[in-house]
Amino acid sequence: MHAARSVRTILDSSPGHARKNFSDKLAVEQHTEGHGRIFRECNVPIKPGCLVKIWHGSYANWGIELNGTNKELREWAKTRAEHYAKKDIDDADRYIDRNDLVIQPHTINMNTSGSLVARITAEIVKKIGESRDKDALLKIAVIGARGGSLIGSIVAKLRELDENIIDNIQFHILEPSEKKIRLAESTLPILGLNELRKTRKGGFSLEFKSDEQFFSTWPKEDLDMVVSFFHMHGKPFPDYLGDLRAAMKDDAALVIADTYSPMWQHPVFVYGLLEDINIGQKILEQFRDHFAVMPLDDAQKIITTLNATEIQSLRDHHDYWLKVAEELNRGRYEKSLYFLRAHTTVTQRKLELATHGFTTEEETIHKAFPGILESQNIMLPCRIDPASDFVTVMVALKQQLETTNGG
Amino acid sequence: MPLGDLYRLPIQALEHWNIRVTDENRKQLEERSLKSFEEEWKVVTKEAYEAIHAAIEASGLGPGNTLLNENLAQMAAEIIVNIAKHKPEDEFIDMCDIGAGRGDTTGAILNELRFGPRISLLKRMRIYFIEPSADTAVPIRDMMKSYETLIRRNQQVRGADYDNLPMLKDNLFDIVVSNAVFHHKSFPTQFGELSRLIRPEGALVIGDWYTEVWQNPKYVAYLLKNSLSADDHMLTEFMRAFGTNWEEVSKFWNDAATDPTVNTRLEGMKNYIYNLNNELIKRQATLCLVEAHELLEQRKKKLQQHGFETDFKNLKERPAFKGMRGNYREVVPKNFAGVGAFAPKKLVA
Repeated sequence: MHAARSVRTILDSSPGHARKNFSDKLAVEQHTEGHGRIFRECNVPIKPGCLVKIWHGSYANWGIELNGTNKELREWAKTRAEHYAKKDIDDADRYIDRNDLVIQPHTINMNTSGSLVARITAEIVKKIGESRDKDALLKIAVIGARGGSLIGSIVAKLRELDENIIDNIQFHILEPSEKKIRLAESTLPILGLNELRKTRKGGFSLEFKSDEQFFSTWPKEDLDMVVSFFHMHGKPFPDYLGDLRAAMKDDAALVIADTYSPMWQHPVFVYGLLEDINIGQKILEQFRDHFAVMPLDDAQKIITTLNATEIQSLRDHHDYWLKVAEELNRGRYEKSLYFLRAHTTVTQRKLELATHGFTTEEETIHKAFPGILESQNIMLPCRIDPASDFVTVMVALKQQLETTNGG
Repeated sequence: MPLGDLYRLPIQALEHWNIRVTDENRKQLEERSLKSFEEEWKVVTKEAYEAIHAAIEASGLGPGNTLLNENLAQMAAEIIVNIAKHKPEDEFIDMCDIGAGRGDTTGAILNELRFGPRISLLKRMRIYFIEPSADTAVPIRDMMKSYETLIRRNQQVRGADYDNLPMLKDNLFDIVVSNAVFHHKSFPTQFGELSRLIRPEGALVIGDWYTEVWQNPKYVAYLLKNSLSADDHMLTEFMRAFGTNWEEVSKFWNDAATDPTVNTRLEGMKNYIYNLNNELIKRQATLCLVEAHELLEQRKKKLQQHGFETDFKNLKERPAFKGMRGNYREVVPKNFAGVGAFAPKKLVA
């Protein structure tokens, strides 16, 4: 009975092909450990890394069956993903930070998204400020210091709109990388932002902590704005959204810039990447067998479920990591970079936000903040490359959660 | 870090370095300066470029470079929109990116145009890249691939080097952009070439870092000791060559630094060179010290001398500048870095 409960065998349409999904914690541990063993000895610049770092919604494609009753498995996966996410940050601090690699057009598109986030943030903050008392303090949390340039952009845009508004803004910049916090520290004075630490009411704090550490302890309904800059694709589970939402005022806005693609949601796409980096036939076969990947069959089934911008984002994401591998091959690398992350599609992100009490409906956003980005006729969500979801900026607002009356 | 060829210093500073510039020797000095630039940068290795990048980040200057690009793109996009309004719809808008590097500047401009109704302008763009380093061909190609459906491939033209500029026809470009390039060039008669190459209704948009640190050997002596830990003998010889001593050097730097504006720039360069030296040592790479940074006002004067209008009150009625609030944006405070737009003085025929 235990074996029957712990292993659910799915018969594929092709006779003789079976993928096993594991729902027992021990079995999942063995399954993920087996995946790790495949790549342990191979010397390639990029490798998958910890399996449970992918988006929880795609676990089943990788043989992990999360169901509502198995809380122990969920907690294990979440803790393990957080552990390896922290390790990735520490490795990036010590060895190589992907942000140091110039990969076109991704680098340009990320920079453009920063500029757009700054514009949106400034326009919304100005509108929010107009609805508050004249001397009210506005609080903005920014997740991802990005060395200070994002803050520099936001402050510059705010100053363009209203020279005095900065005095009444308090920025809280969250960054779990010690190296990036130190960089931001050295950048603030150069960008002329250090004096903002001592403004009349507003100012800066640089917080060396994760978003969960911050939002779980922040007062409820206190933030006017949250900016999430290329951070959500590192969160396999959406639990943090509850605390984040709770910390926001009812009319606050959440601006999200992120990379989107279904790349890590099915092993067939990873198989394609591993093939293209010439990882070796033996490893490819082990990977294929471990996840019961039938490349052509699987890929064709999944592609039909994607729209054009999602398919392009898949190509862009694949292309990005191929170039990272090429770039690392050109130089010295002391450590491989691990690529598995919790990327979703734009549609999946919107659904997840909706489930956690946010709306991304453009009409609602323009009703709440009339005229934002009007001068450039920018639609939200804004795809930096209109043909691809890969780098997209969106805005989310709190919506009232439905309450059910007791029976 | 070797000092490098002093003829690469900004031309207006040479007299402080005991080099006299006259009408008779100017051309020769310029040729020497350009030759030194090519020789010094020809041998710059991948490790040295990595060291530069790491030092920029470690000094907190990285965001400044990002912001320079961002602001340059916004200003250039505004100008391109204006130029497009005054050109027949079947004519290309010709843009040249000087010192294109890995394509960041052009990419940022094209991304600005990709938003909203401006996207229709992309079909009219024809882009020339001027970049002497062959290493950047791949990133530029990769960057331009993402615009292939919007900009036909045959509209992209790659030039090789600044030496190509004199071979190009008059009035070839509507807009020339350049980010963090001209601080390498002390005799920018390229400005003269550019005023010839840019159409009368066009514009030149420059992003750059500005500092006085190369203007006087006393500043450099201070850097040799405090950023590069030069040994006493070398420092003494350097100071003797330029008729100074440590007491004068120290006083010169500290007096200048009492002005917070100047202090920001001097400290910024001091930190950058300190970090650059460390990063070069780590990578066993070499780079020459002196460059051609100058102050914003000195740059504007050179532009004026080489046929450009720099004053916004004389630019704002020109079609390319219509509706703009100004032609200069300070990106890093105390005029440490900024973006400016200028136009050839020549009138429309």
